[in-house]
Amino acid sequence: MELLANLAKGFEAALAPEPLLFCFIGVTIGTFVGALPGVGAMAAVAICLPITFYLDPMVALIMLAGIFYGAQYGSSIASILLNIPGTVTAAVTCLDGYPLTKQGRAGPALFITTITSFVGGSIAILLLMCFAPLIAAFALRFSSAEYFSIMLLGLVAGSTLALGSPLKGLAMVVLGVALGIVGTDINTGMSRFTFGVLDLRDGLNLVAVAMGLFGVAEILASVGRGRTVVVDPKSINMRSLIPTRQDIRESIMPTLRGTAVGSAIGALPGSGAVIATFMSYALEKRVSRNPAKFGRGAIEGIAAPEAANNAAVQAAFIPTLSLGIPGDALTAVLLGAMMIHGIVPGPQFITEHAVTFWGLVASFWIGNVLLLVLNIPLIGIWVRLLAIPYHLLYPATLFFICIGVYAINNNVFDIYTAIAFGAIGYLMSSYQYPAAPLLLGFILGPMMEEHLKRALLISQGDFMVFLQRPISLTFLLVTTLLLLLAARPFFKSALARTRAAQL
Amino acid sequence: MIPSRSLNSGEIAAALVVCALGGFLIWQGSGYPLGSLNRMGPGFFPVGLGIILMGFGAALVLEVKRLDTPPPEWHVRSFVAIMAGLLAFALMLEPFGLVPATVALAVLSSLGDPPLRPRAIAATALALAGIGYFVFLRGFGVQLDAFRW
Repeated sequence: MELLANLAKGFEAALAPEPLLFCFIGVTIGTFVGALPGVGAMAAVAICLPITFYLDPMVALIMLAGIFYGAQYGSSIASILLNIPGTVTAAVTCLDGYPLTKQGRAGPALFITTITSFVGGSIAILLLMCFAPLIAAFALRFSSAEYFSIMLLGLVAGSTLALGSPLKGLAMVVLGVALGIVGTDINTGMSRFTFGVLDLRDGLNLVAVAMGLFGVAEILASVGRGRTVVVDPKSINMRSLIPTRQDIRESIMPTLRGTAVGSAIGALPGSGAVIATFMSYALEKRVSRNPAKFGRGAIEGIAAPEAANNAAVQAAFIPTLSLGIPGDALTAVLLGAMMIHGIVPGPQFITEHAVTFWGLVASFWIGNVLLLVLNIPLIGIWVRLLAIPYHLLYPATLFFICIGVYAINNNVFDIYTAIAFGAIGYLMSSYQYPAAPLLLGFILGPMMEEHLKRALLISQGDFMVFLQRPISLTFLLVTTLLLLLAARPFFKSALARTRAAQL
Repeated sequence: MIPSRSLNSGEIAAALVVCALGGFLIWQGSGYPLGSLNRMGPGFFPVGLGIILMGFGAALVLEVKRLDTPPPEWHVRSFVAIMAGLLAFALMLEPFGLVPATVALAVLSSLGDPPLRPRAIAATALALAGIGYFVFLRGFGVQLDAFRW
């Protein structure tokens, strides 16, 4: 069993004192920022990224990844207790979680979401262990045409499989790709879109852009909205957590269905946990024999989406680690962190950095077990945290964003970049233009341009190269299918109008 | 069914901004050598993106009619206060040092969330300056001075 031997090697690496300590720090920070509304995992990564420069690359990845999946555990706490999602991926959990709190069943709700999170995460890690090496081995044969097509698929999936207008998502993805052009062209050395600004010659800083769009913009959208809510932390203790036997029975199948939806969506490059939670909630409502109870405290309504978001976050590592193509906006930032640490993401990563890969996988298991401990016996700590008033929290978050972004290159220009993208992100979210596709496009854009150029150089300018290679053709067909699905409402309304005209 | 005109003006403006950005890409990108299909120049990709973006922008203008999203609420006070705090931090960081910049950020951005709480603001400013000095300057060795004038 090569898999088990590899995993054993991974555990050996991940159970050393330093990785173990930073795994613990990572998941704790993750739970912390997940639990606090208005502070996302993205902001936590900006704060921690400069710290990880002093660490071994594997330890750095373990810690940053721990923040990502740890945040998924913490985020359901505020949804259930306050009706405010801790992060966007827990928005659906509010629908049935808060009614449960009003019925005095907050304890079992918190317990169930932690367990389903664990189950969803674990199954997705199993999938990661089994499939990532296979996909990577397969992808070693990919040429530029395949890479271009799968990145295109990722971008289209990320912008159309989302909430709201798919057209806005597509526009933002193109804008993101365009932002990736800024800087020196690697083929000719020509400066593009730098407008004579020297600081732009190396392009816009990824972390600064991400921090602006997700950290600063989030705060701009939350301050002054008056959402300080007081919870009674004493009401949540170990005994109150224990669910009834019926709760457990009712959450088994939804957890498994949520995990399936989450793993599938998460593993698809580009599309992330948010849409997975909404889809799994909709699925539960459809298969339920009693759909009327949803929104009134249905256990299925919290079990499925929480399993889905944890599965999606873990499954997002499949394309990220096996192809070097991010599964969602968060793993996109993680890829950026890998590159800062001098690791080139791509199909050769798993073989060339076998210890790092398997150590990271082993740390996922360790981290998820640590999260069980953090979220069940120690739940009271996080509940008390919710009582921190936002007017103390947001200046602190702004400070951490600024100093974190500055410390990456010791460059004030990066702070201005974050400020500018904060304002842009705020305007975008005000008109419901999504920020995640923009970031995804920004990261994949330069790689796409490179692969497009190379594919066309080899084919001597013939676009048919993308259709003649079967794998590339498959990716493009799936892309077309996604675009047609997204365009369906337009056809429907056009059809309705012609029918109305005929009558 | 079709929402009032005033409700859509912001959406139309947003869609037009997308179109304008596409136009800007085409205009700027065509200033770089375009090259040919088998040897793409640095201008090829931006011009292509500009054309696609303009197309999406145009489709968005048409889509506006079908949208019934509520107009955004603007919180001018918090926006101005936070932006002022961030800009003050960026402007003051190198000339004056980390501590004055942090105090400026904490005080200015706190003004964005009324009511005014002088004691809480002072405590936040001091605590953050302390974290900045001990954790980032002394701990992580970030190359900055605490004070400079």
